[in-house]
Amino acid sequence: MRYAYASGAPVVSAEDLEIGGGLTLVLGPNGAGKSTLLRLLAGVEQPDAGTIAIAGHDLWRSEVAARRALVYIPDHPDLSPYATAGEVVQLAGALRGRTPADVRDVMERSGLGALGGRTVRELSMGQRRRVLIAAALLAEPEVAILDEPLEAMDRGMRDTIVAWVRGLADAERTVILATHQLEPFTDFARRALVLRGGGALDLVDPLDADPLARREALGRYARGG
Amino acid sequence: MRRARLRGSQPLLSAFLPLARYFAASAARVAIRSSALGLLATFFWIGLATPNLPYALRELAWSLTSHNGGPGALALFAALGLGLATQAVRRFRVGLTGWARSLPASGVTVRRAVWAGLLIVQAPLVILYLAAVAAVATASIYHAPLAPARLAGFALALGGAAALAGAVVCHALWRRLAIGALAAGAILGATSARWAGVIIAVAALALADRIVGPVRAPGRSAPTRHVRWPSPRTLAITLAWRALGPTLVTNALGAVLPLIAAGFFRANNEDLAPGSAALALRIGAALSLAIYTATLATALAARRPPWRWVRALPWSGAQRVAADAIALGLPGAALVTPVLFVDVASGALTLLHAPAYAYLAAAALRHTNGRPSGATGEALRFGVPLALVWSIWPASLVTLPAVIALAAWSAVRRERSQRVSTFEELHHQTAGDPEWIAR
Repeated sequence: MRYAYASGAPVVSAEDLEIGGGLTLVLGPNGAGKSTLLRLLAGVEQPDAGTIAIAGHDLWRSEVAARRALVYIPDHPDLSPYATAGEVVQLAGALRGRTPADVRDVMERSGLGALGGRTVRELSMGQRRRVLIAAALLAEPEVAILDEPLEAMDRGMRDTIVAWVRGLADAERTVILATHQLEPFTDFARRALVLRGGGALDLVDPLDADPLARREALGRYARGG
Repeated sequence: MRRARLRGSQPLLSAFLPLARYFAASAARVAIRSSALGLLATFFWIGLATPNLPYALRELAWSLTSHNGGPGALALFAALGLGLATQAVRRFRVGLTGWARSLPASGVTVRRAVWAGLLIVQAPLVILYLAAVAAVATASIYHAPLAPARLAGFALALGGAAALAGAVVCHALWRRLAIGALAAGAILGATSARWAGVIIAVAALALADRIVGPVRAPGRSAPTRHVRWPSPRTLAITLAWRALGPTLVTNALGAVLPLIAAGFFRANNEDLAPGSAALALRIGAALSLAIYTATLATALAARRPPWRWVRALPWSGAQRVAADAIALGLPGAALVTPVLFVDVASGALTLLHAPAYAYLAAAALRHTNGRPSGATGEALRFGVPLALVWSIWPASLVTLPAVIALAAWSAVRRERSQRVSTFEELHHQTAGDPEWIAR
């Protein structure tokens, strides 16, 4: 699989990569291509060459089936300024076959109960991220692709997200997560996908079982080492 | 306690007058801008009525002020006033938040001041000017007795227009609906030009003033229960129309010109054979439809860039394209639907084109890099020749399914291969970047 922006130099280049259940941390310095890789895995961008399969479904041949199995939380909460918070979550709920009651419930759990009628322009950055997290909580994903999920979140929401990620990982769902805040995830991360710029990509599987060695290794990978 | 005292016992004029002056200043600026349009419309009307100007003036004067006229002109001026007030209320609502809400004035007083401003918006325009001219002309030139009910109705119709436009600033949905209904009733009563109608209008406006309550902040709707469950496609179409906003109307003004030209051509050539008249209508309507849909594509591409996150939802590219095609095609179909009332066959044949232009536009708005024209240019490059061929030889419409399929295929292919993150990745936000600040 290969992908490049207009300049032509590959941002992501990988061969026969398979990521199993549990938490996979995507690590690398700024600009290494972490967000681009996650966008490719989430079906936001189409690779120049090669294919990506989610739960056995090709992302671009079986678009709906593949996407039904995944949830994606982007680094930047790009929501339509023409939609209300409630409409965004409704959209995700309708596409995932959820009921209005499910949507209301998840809005309440995400602290958005009173914000359903507000347009995206009226929401703070943290509230916008909550909208995307609420939409993600509506799914029962095989694969969760999370780009900086703790960014701009308050303490309570951080705990909720970490618990959700841990629950997915414990249930052997595939969680692929890029973050610069490693501490909440180091204990239960199973492997690391390390990007070193120029498209180079290494899978470290499994991570060291020793907590200290694991922490040190993850820190090194995050710095591009 | 403080709030209750302010709402309950605040002297009416002490807070109302400064606020009314504040909104009047805004209203005057809007009115000055609008009056240019009003004068233009007046000159246009005079130009149209030139051969029978005295007759047209007399009809206008009678219908505004005398027993001899019908209610048409009153209703027209009420509609004009409503349009102006609706435009102005958007600006007023911006001033209702933030600092203005900290002023020692109750919400009811602020709302009354807004309504006063909305009346002022209408006042200096041609509406009152022409009304005064009409009154003088009726009494002195046409020797017709003035009808006080009609004069009172005129003022009340403007008041109803202000109330109807101002209903959006009221808090709570039921109040907005109730005030809207009462204001509409007041306009109807006022334009009936009868004393019974005038009394109904006064009562409706008084009741509206009683129940309407304080103002609400713009854009902050109260939390509502989502009882409706729109489908993803409906939601996507709604969002596209919200993004298009006023361009749905402004683009139609230009796009409708070929259809108007066809109408003039038919009107000025009464001896045309029926076949030729129908052909002219089909060509005009098809061109209007193709142009309108194509221009909406550019507007949508500019105002609604690709929504990246949605591409990760279980929703195929074909479904997203179909939603856009419907969002672009329906307004076009609405634009040429009136042709059905002139010539059913021509209108129906033209409406068949709509899906093709819509898919062409949906494809064009998905590919804007590396081509000399915008989405409009690309959509017209295919749309105009197709419009001409299909209009001139209706039998060629057998190609329509193939064209739709091809356009849809192209749109879906582009939808999938769009580089939706390229701009962001290659043009990072520089605000706050110390590298840039240091330069």
